[in-house]
This record gives sequence, C-alpha cells and structure tokens, in this order.
Amino acid sequence: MMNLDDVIEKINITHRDKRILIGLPIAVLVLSLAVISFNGLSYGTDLEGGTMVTLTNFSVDGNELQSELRDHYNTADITVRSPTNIGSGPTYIELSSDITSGDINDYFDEKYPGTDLSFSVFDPTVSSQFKSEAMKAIVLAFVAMSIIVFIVFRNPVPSITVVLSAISDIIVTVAIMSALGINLTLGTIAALLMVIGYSVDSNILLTTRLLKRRGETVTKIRNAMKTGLTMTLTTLSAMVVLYLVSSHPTLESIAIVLVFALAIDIMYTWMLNTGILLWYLGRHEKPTKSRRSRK
Amino acid sequence: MRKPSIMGNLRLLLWLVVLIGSLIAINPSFSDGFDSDLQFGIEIEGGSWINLALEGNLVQAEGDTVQIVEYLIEDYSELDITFIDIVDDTLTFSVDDLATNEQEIRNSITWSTPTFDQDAGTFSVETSNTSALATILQRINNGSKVTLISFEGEEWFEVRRSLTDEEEILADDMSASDFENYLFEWYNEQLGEYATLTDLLNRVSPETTIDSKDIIATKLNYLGLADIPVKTIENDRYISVEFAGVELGDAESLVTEQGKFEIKIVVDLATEPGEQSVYDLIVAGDEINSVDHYSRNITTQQWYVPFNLTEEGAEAFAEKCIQYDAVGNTQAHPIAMFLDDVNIFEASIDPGLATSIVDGSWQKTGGLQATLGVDDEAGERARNLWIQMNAGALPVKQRVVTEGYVSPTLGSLFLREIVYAGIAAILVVGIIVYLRYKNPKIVLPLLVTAFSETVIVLGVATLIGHQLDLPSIAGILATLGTGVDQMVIITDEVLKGEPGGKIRVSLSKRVSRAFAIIFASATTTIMAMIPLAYMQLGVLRGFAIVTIIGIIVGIFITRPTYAKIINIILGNDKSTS
Repeated sequence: MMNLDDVIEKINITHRDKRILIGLPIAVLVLSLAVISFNGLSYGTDLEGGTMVTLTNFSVDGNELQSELRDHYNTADITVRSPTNIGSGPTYIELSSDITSGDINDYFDEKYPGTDLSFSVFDPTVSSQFKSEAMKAIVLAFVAMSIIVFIVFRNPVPSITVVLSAISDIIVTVAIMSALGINLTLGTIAALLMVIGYSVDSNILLTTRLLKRRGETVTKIRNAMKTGLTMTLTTLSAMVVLYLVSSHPTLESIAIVLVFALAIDIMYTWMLNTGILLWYLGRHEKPTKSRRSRK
Repeated sequence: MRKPSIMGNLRLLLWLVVLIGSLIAINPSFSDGFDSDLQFGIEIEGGSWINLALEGNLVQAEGDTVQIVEYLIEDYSELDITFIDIVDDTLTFSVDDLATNEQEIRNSITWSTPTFDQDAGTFSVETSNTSALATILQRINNGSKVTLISFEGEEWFEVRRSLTDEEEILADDMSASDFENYLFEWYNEQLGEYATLTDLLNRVSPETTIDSKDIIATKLNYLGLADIPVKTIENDRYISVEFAGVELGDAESLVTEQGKFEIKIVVDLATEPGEQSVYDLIVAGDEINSVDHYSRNITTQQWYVPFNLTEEGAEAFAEKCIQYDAVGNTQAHPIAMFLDDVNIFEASIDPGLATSIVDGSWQKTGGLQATLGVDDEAGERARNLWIQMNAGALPVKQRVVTEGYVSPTLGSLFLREIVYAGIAAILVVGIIVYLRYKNPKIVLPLLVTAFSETVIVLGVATLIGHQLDLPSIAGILATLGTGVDQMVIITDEVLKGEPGGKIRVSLSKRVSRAFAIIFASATTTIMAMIPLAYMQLGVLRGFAIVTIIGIIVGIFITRPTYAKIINIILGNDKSTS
C-alpha cells in the first residue's frame, strides 16, 4: 500500500534551484493577473442583480429549455444550467431582473405542470451594495490577518512571505475562476476567505518549523511538508467529496473554489515560501551557526 | 507528575460534559425519521424570505439662511420682499403694502410664526439655519416629511421621499453608488443657487427602519403569524422577513399590502343603478386613536370592529356630519369606510349617535364602530379591517430588494446531500490520515474528536439560537477542515519525540510547540472572520459566526482533548502509567 511518508521523502525541494522555486510561482501570479485583467470577472445574481430559479422534479434537457425560454421572452439574457453532480440534481435558470418570479411560475405551471420551483431574486441596487461590502470584508480580513502574522513572527521577511502566499493563493484562484467562468458570489467569496485561513495555516506551520526550531534545514522542511501536505490533502479530498455529492449552487461553488485554492496553496507554500525562506536562511544562517558552535 | 494528570483528566471530563451538553441541546430523536432541535434556515426548511428597503434619503446640506427664507417666501407668495437685517436667528424683511399682503406672507411661512410691524412696513421671522434647510428640502420634495436625525455621530436630514416611476426604473439599472450620485445631482439641481447638498445616503434613519419593522411585526402578529422572524439587517438599513412554509406570492402580499383606511361621507347618494355616489373625505387612518378587538353582536349576529377617533378626528367627523346634515337627514348621507379605496362598509349613522353629535357629547369619546355583516365572509373582513387599522401604515414607502422561495422538497434534498457529504468526507479524511500514519490508534481518536467538535459546534449554535443557513453549514465544514489540520499538527509534534528519536524534547514542550502554531493560525482565522461577522452582510454572517465558534471550541476544548487522548494511547503519557 502507498505510504504518504515515502512519497514525501522522495520530493526533495531543497535540491532544486531557488530561482525556480521562487520564479515559477511569481510567473504564475503575473500570468493570473493578466488573465483577470484580460478576461474580467463574472458575478452571480446575488452580486449583480437578477433572478435565479431552481427546478426540481424536472427532466427536460437544459439546452433545450434555454433556447425555449430565450425564444419565449425574446432575450439572450437567460442561462440554464443542467445538473452537474452524480445522479440528478436540480436544474438552474439565471434571468435578468426584468422577468418576475410570477411570470416564470405561470410559464412552468402551464408548460411543465408538476415542476417544483424555487426562487431567489436580487435587486441590482442591493446587489451592488453586497458586492462592495464583500470586497471590504476581504480587504479587512487581509489587513487583520497581516497584523497577526507580523505580531507572531516579528520579522518582516517571513511575515511578508506568508502574506504574499495568501494573496497569491487568492489571486490565482480568482484567475482560474475567471478562466473557467465560475461566478463570484457571496458563497465563493466565503470560500476565498476560507482560503486565507488555510493558506495561513500551512505557511505559519512551515515558517515556525523552519525559523523557530533547531536542526537540519532539509529535515525541518521535509517534516513540515509531511504535516502540511497531510493537512492540505485531507481538506482537499473533503472538498472533492462535497463537490461530487452536493447539488446546492452555494456549496458546490465553495467546494470547487477550495479545491483549486488548496492545490495552488501547495505551490505557494512549498515553492515560493520555502524558496524565500531558504534564501533568507542562507543570508542569515552563518552568524547563528558560529554562535551555536561555540556552545 | 500528579498535577498534570489531574489537569489532563479534567480536560477529558470537560470535553465529555460539553459533548453531552451539546447532545442534550441538539436533542436528536430517531423515532419518526431524524428530528432535532437544530434550527435550519429557510433554504433548508423551505419557505420564503423577503428583504425590504425603505424609500427615503439622508442628506447633509448647507446654505445661507437669509437667501433660503427670502426664496421660500417669494416663491410661495409671488411678492417682492427686501431683506433688512438678521439678529441672532430673527430675520427682518420689508414689503410694499404690508397690510394687504399680511395673510399671504403668513401662509407662506410654514415653519414659524412671523411678527408684523405695520408702522415700519416690515415683518420678522425666527428661522434657524437648520429649519431653513429642512423647509427648502421639504419644498423641493412635494412636502415629504423632513426631520433632523443623528446617524453615526453626525446630523442628517431624513427626507421621506418616495421614488417616482421613472426613478424606480433608473434604480433597477444602476449600481447603488451610481443611483446615489443621480439623487445627489437631482437635489442640487432642485435646490439651485439657494442651498447645496454636501452628502447623501440613499437610506432612511435606523429609527425609521426599526419603527417600520415593528409595524410589520405587529401586523403579522395580528394575522396570527407570531413566530415569523422580522428583523432589521445591514446596520438597520433593510428589513428582513422569513416565512417558513409560505409560498412567495403569499409572503409578498402579507408583507407589502398596506392598508389605506379612510372614512368618507356621502355627499350625493346614488339612487339609480350604475350611478356612483359622491363622497367627501372626513378622516384618514392616522386619526384612529384606538381599535378594540373585532367581535360579533350576540343579538343581531353582526360582525363589527369598535374604534375611537382622536380628538381632532372626532371634531372633523362631527363638523362634516353637521355640514352635510348627516345628523338630520341620516338616510341621504351615510358614512362609508374605505380600505385601499374599496368601500368595505357604508351605513347611515344611528339616531342615538346623531343626537350626541349635535349636543357635542359624542366628540368627547369619538367612539365609532364599523359593522360588516352577518356571514362568515363578513367575519373575515372584520378581522382584516381590525388588522389594518391596528397595524397602521408604514411611515415610508417600501420596496422589495431581494426575495426568494425554496420549496420544501428542494430544501430536504439539500439537507440530505449535506449529511451524505459529511459522512463521506469523514471517511475520506480517515483514509488519508491512515495512509499517512498507518495506525488505527491515531486515526480513530482523530476522527472521533473531529466528529465531537462538529456536534459541539452544532450544540453551541442551537443554544445561542443561531439559525443554520447554508453558509453556516459551509462554516461547519470549514471548522471540520481546520480541526483535522490542527490535529495533524499535534500528532506530528507528539510523534517526532517518540523514544528512539534523535531529538529529545519533553512531551509538554512538544505539545506546547504544536499549540503555538495552532494559536497563531486560529487567531489569524478569527481576525479574518470578525469583519464578516460584524458587517452583518446578510448571507456571510452565519458563515463567520459558525467558523469563529468552531475555532474557539477547537482551541479550548477539542484540541487539548485530542492531545491528551493521543498521549494516553501512544503510551507517551507517563503520568497515567
């Protein structure tokens, strides 16, 4: 049977060139910023305004329903999403705000009686306010997180590295969302805030083990990696399960965003953060060593 | 060595007590399917939710008192007045032909009482800068109510202004800040050279929102829907109402239907079929002083609602009855009551009432009753009238900003999926932890502690009355994730110092090292969640609250417990051997 310890033993990142360890994640970050600025972001009905209809007890093909509704309401502003999970989940329709829930209700009552409809309707004015408050929440969360990290390490280089890793995790995740057309919603924003937590967890682990413990740097990194990768893998697999099982749009989007973010966090913790810390230790190690050898 | 042992056992005991306490709070039962005291949100329970915004603005403005007052008087009276001087807050103006224009000037000054000096041909009016600004704001908004209020430590004018149809369309297509800019420019255009708006918020004061919330709650209460939660959200900006098990259309009409109640007198009674009676308004709903419970007269079987008018209302009622001779020729001038412009009741006044109106004794009490008929439908109308008269109208116009409905089948589908996902996630995490440690002695305690943490978080949520909406459930998943992560950190620290290992560090030191990392990451996560919990952002608040509960339960109860258990099991804890 496969043993995680052995797998991790084989990955020896300390032998790799520090320029690659640091350069690759930075290149990915720059590329992500380019993707976001080129592609833009798409927002869900809760942050942009509009109506989301959820159909259960309904078995017509999504594409068919989409063209039918677009014809009927004479607008291209209707998107139908078929069930994505295992088994048959609900079908989702996203509408612009000028079609009322009453209209849709009447339409399905007549054409597909027996369909079970659920709605959520967001007025654009309140949605734009949600959006600005959500952005404010992310910024405040970052500031609060950065302050704590600086208090914990009382050392600019490792602190900035932890914060940079968290920021990179979020930016690259948002770039993937942008490329795959995953909407920013209140749910996915909650997921991005969770990313801050998870990212800081693994980075604090690495930095503490590396800077505050005695021992061989290589051993410290390998041990930190064993712990850190186990942590990331457990959460990652739990999120894969949630994505496969749940058909709720909020939970599904939280799960998929976290799957991407945790995978990306592996790169930023074990390449970028490790690379910077190795460089930092290389510059500061010598005086420490000589003091110790005198002991 | 004894002390840590007692401390350790106390930890385990505390964990057991909290766990059992949580189970009691959740109160699960499996007799008739799964049931518990957990409170689920509308997305899971099934039902409707509506968030309302109230129309109106908070504005700050500045302007010169003299210029404003001069404009207000000249604009209304179309006279040419000349400013003479201002002493404290008293402004003096002169005008040609003061004697003839006195009444016109009096009428134009709605905010104060002017004094006239006929010899000098001048008049004086006391006006503070605040009342000048309030009056001009009221003037440009067709007489909407303007009051000075305090909001977040600053003084603002609250303008209870409703949106026009065109503005409603504009608001639908604009972002919140663009619409505020539009309103800001609109005000400045209307105020012209006399005053300038310095700031505008497209919202009403928290007090107005809270008053409106209370009115809606009262109305739902009268409808027999007492357990429907009505609350204000987002810094008292919106009103949120959740109806478990009610369809959206019904929920909308329950909240938004607002009774406009009026009492009118028939001036010219319709005699031919198809002809319409001509009415004159006597009083509106705001002149109702008190309403008694609707009931049924035992002898006549008539349903009726007894109520009292205010003193002014009673005076006005008596005056109109005498003016149109409803007290003499009662048959020709019945009294009618209108609810939302629908005539719900029309009858001649009773001779006894007519007599007491004439001799002036009725006016002291102002007691009236609306009689609605004998059948069941009349009973229903009596109840409805009673509700509308009691609850009254909202002080400002309301607007639905977000709403939704989740059918009970969809809600239970989601709940089922969450339970499956939870079980599957625990299994998968178990497999990964096993792959790492290859030791069931580590995997089992880890999973048991992780599961107990979820139970405790659910217990705490039930105890504090937190409703589990979907974001809260996402929060539970998040704490489960960080919980497992932190237990992995503890396990690795404890294992590293196993006998035979190169580096010998005492057990308590190893555990406290693990806790140093855990505390640092827990603090950062809590700090990241606090802005969300505080911002009250409708949807994300539950997520933040549950995550914070989970982290606190983790560091103070379940993490120390796990550290203790893992030590006992691995035989590292010398105090127990």
